[in-house]
Amino acid sequence: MTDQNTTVPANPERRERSAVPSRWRQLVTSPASLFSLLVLLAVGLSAIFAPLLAPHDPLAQNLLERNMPPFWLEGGSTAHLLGTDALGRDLLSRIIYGARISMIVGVATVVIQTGLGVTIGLIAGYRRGWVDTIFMRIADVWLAIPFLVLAIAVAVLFGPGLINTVLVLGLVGWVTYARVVRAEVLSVREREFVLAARTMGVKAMPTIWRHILPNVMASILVVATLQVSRMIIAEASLSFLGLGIQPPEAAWGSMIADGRDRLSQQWWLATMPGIALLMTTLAINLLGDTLRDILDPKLGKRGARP
Amino acid sequence: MSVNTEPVLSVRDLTIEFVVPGGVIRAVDGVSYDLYPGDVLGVVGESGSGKSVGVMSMLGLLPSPPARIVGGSVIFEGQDLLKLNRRQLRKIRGKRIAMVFQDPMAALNPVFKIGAQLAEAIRIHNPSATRAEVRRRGIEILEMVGIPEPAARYDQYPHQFSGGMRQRAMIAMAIANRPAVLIADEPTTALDVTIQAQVLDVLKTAQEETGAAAILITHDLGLVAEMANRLLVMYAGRVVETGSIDRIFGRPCHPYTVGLLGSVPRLDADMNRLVPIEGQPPNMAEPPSGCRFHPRCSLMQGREICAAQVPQLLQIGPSHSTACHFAEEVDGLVDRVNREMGVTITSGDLA
Amino acid sequence: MIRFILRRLGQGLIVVFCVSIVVFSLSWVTGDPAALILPPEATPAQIEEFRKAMGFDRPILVQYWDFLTGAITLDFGKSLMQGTDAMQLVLERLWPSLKLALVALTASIVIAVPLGMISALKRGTIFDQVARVLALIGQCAPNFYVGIVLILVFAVNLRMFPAIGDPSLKGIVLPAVTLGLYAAAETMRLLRSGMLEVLGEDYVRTARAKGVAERWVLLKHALRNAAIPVITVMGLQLNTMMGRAVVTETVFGYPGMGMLAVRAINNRDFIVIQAFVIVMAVVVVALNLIVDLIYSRLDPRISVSD
Repeated sequence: MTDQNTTVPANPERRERSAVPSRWRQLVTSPASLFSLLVLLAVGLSAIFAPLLAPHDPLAQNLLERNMPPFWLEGGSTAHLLGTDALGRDLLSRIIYGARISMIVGVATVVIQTGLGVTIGLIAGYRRGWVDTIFMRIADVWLAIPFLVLAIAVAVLFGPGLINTVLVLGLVGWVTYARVVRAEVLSVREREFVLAARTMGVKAMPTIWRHILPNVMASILVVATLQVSRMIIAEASLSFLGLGIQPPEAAWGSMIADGRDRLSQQWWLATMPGIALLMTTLAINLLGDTLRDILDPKLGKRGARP
Repeated sequence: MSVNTEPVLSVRDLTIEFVVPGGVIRAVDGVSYDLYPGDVLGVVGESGSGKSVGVMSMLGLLPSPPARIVGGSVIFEGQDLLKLNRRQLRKIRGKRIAMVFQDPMAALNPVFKIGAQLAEAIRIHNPSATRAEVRRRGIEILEMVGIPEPAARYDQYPHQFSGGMRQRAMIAMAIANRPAVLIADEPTTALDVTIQAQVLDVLKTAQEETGAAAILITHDLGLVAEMANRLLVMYAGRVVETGSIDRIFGRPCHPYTVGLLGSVPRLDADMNRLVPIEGQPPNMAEPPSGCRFHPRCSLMQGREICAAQVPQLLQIGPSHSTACHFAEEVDGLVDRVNREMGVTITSGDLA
Repeated sequence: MIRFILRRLGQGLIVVFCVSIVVFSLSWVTGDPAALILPPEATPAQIEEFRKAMGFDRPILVQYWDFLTGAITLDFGKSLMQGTDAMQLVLERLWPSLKLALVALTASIVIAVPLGMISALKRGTIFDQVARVLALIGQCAPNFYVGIVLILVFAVNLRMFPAIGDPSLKGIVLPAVTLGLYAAAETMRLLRSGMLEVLGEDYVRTARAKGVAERWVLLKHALRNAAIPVITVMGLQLNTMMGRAVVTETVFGYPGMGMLAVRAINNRDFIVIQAFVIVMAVVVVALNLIVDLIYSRLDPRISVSD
């Protein structure tokens, strides 16, 4: 007797849908995700435990041992695994400390952007009227100028330094979040239950917030993750240009800038920090992609699924 | 049905499988039939019965993994279509055998004008035609399918057409090169009920004007009754009954066909309720043994041969074959019910 | 169509206008532009003198009016570091920068479109997987790092291209590749997923059923539709490219607007920075308009009059 409950698939390639919780298992089962989690763990640990992990003080100069190549090349030594720079500072230690800067900038910046963007989006969407118009015009202008150009212009004003850089990037990058949240608010606020709440004297805001939160969470989470990597690169770019974190602080961007001038002799000074940067951004992007896959139905992402 | 002429299309033992993650699905299993010039063959069955898959394989339109043609032949104008290479098939597609698909909005390319798409169909098979000639012919065909102001419409985009007009445009594309065989796969399913009749008329006209043999695939018996002169009933990848429409509608000899006909609402007979066929279509990954319909067959009554042996398609009357171990019994039953109800179902009643 | 262009131009003008306000006010945000521009060692007397000379002691609105009227006649004042007209300095370098961006964009399309298509057709094969990994790296790698690696490999070691970029044929290759890499990666991914989606559409099946040769099914029917989301993104890509060009030009010493801006930053030449930002905004608005026009031609479902 055939199973009465199975229907013939109209398309013989119908796939099984997995239950909701097991989608999150992708985080640990997919190789890409595993890779990214491991890399991020390494970076995170470096950032937190830098003083313990770094073999040397990143600021310590040792003119006797300057310009040493990595240990596997002639002239290198295992005391300085990745070599030293022109002032004798150990490259590996500086890279490890650099992880701190990148992580702080990446996370703090995105937190500011999200906070700022979500708040503005909520206010603009709820209040409408001139408040909305003003904020959205500002958003348009913000978007009209390329991100980096705006960041540079603002960074010039604020000056270099870690805190300044975080503020600059935070102020420049809130727009996407604001738009997403505003769109959601607009679509929800006219719904009946909101109007009903308002006629009863209940404040509409908490209701709206409760209803847009799930929809918005998924998008924001994915965007925020990808933005972390973008912000890390932005900070590195600013540092590279001399606007972000300045030497002698160990930031990957300024280290690469220093190394650029010595490319023909001490190529490792520019390439090593760059590899760290590349791995970090790769890991974050892969994580973001995995998150997007997991939250897929809510985002309604179109496109090919293998 | 013209018995004296050769069939335009001869399908023999067509068997097609799909390789899917779960296993292998035999979507079409040993299907055979002939199509004669001027015929309109209605192919009916539920979703998953293999009716579309069969004809798509003729033109090589099935994606080749996961689909796999396991066996059989499709003889058309002296060639076995299944053995042709892509270039040879391309010469036949759109020229000798043409298809009209189900959803015209999806089947028309949204970024090209209707005229351009029509012209493409014409020009591929008439490379020496000038642009003016192609355009003229295109407008001519648009007019033939009843599109008003064809010259203006020729330069419009699909989204500017209504649903019915789009399907007419698709029919126009199909008959542009006067094919010998016209295949329509659920041509009216995606349309509003009021438009369906109009499009059906267009199809009929198209078929009559070009003299093409037609295969009409549908799950709608009313459609088949209107247009077809022969019927092919499919279930779970196999042919269960075939023959002339009048015979089958008048005296169905397979329990599935009986069920299909019984579940069609009628205006004149006194029907207390619609009688759907019990159960669900089979899981094609693990189809029932023997007669594939046996789990749902109310006539089976526990007879073992139904589960054990595959019934062959055997002739039960002039131009009427059926695949049931107890075909005569079914025939007799139907006859009796008809006489009791004082009713004889003919194809005219169902239209 | 004309109305559309006019309306967009109008919107663009408003945006540029707002940008000008932003640019102007930036110099006042931190309080005293004189203190900003002059080196820290300047005495109060020197600051006061400078202020008078630059007209910073006048009321803000007067200054803004001067700024505006000057801007319309393209007079932003004289560059602080060179003494020549600031706008002229910027405009001289506009074309090299545009050229770089256009070459980079073209290169990215030329590379990404075939790769994306082949990847989609050969989905799952080694080619596809390698291509996707390369695309991922291309999207994650920081601009300046890619430039540095390219310099290292092709200029220093292989000596195929100059390490310092210039608008000549040989000199523009490395900077263009660096600038275009991100866009190439993004376009390739978009095109791949677009093709995969389009290839499953009914109208592709119809084209085959009509007897269209497979090559044309792909190039004509499929690509035309798959390209639509790619074109949409191109506007954004150009935007980001103009921003990244600042960094790329710095890495390669390419004599474009970006390099000028960085030099202005290092010399605290705020006049030039103002001119630069305005020009950037105008360019970006104009480019976006062109992209939108192209987009509306490609997709007939979008009515240009909306």
